[in-house]
Amino acid sequence: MTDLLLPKIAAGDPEAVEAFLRRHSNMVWGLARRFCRSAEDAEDATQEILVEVWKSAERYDSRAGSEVTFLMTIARRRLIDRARRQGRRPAAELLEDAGTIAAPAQKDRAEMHDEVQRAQDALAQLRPEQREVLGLALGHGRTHQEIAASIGMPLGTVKSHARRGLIRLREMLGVDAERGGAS
Amino acid sequence: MSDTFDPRLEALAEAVAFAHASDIPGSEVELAAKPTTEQLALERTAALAMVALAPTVQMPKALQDRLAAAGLAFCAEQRRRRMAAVPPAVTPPAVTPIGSTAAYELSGPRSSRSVVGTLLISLAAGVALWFVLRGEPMVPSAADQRASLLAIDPKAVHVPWKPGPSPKSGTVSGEVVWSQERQEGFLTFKGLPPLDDDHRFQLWIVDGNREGAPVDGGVFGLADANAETVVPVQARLPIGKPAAFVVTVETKAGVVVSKQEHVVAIAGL
Repeated sequence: MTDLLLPKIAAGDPEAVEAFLRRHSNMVWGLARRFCRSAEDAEDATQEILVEVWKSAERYDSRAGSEVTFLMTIARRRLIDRARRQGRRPAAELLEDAGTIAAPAQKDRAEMHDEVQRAQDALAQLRPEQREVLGLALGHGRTHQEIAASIGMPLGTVKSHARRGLIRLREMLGVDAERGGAS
Repeated sequence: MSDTFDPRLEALAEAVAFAHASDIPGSEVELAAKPTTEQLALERTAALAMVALAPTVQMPKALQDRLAAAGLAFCAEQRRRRMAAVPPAVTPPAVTPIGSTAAYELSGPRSSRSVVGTLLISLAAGVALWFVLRGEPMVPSAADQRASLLAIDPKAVHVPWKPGPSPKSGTVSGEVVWSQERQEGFLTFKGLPPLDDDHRFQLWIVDGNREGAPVDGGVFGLADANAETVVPVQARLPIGKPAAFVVTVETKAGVVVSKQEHVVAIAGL
């Protein structure tokens, strides 16, 4: 487990902020590029997410999960809010090849919490179609209709794979309903 | 296992998985504004999956610098809030008016002056006297003033410059020297971008004890951007707790509040 940075950030420690940026900002940027309609929008989203995480740092409880999960919970909400505010939809040129999501990207595991590694392992254990649908929905911000069109699957089946896959993932990860994480 | 069909849970899972598409036709389920613990658990699962799926992509340098500046501003604000919550234990130091010449005091007792500092000041006074006797104007250079300040206040902080996020940003190097006790400082630059006649650099000081916009630290131009140049800080207000020094490009007369459209150098404490 790596050093906790969020408590230091809550105290206004610039070195902790710098370390946090080194550790996580490229991941946030990678996601923002997938969810936003332009590079400029992705830059704004990245800054909005990181500033909100710093402002929320006082609320971080390490017992509820890793810092990266706290970060990603906030990132996801911000990206969803921005998509709704802006009438959503990433620009086609920013979307990456859907085929690349079938195998989760390898990360620098030394910097990742066990919890995240377990998430990667759990994803790998899902049924291939569940993994594909969840990858497109959660990892790329695609809608059910876009997924149905891109992989040639009926809309109802896409939804079914998404919900069953997420529930299965939660079971495998043992995410406690009483300990939902960042709020 | 999930073989048991629970329509309520499945509907919630679908809403979480496609929360980003809830405005799209075909989304039957809306997430509650106040999430249940069940919803929170599914959202946390989705966040974990996102981490596992997230690509790590090198962000543009300009965005890195922008985030670094935002981080410094956040830390300054955070420290200001924390300090505001605690009553001050000591009286703030007396403030010396800042100006290119007013900041340079050749006389007057100061308890913190070191022996070396006193000797340097004596030497400077001797040089000044020599100039006076020769009938030449006594204007010590900014570099001389900086050297005197460093001799007088060994606690003066040195903070290196980093290029700012502006596309105009050059390959700036150098440092800020700031004496909190004397409220004096000097900027040393090399590699700031050349400016046309209609623009100047303006220094801003992020004060961790002050709410609102950064304090104006003076407008200046550089005769030769490639030569090492020393510029005195001309803070318009007392600085309680300097957190960052930021240089922007503004119009020739300077501005009261910068939009920070062209941040070309940052030095964060």
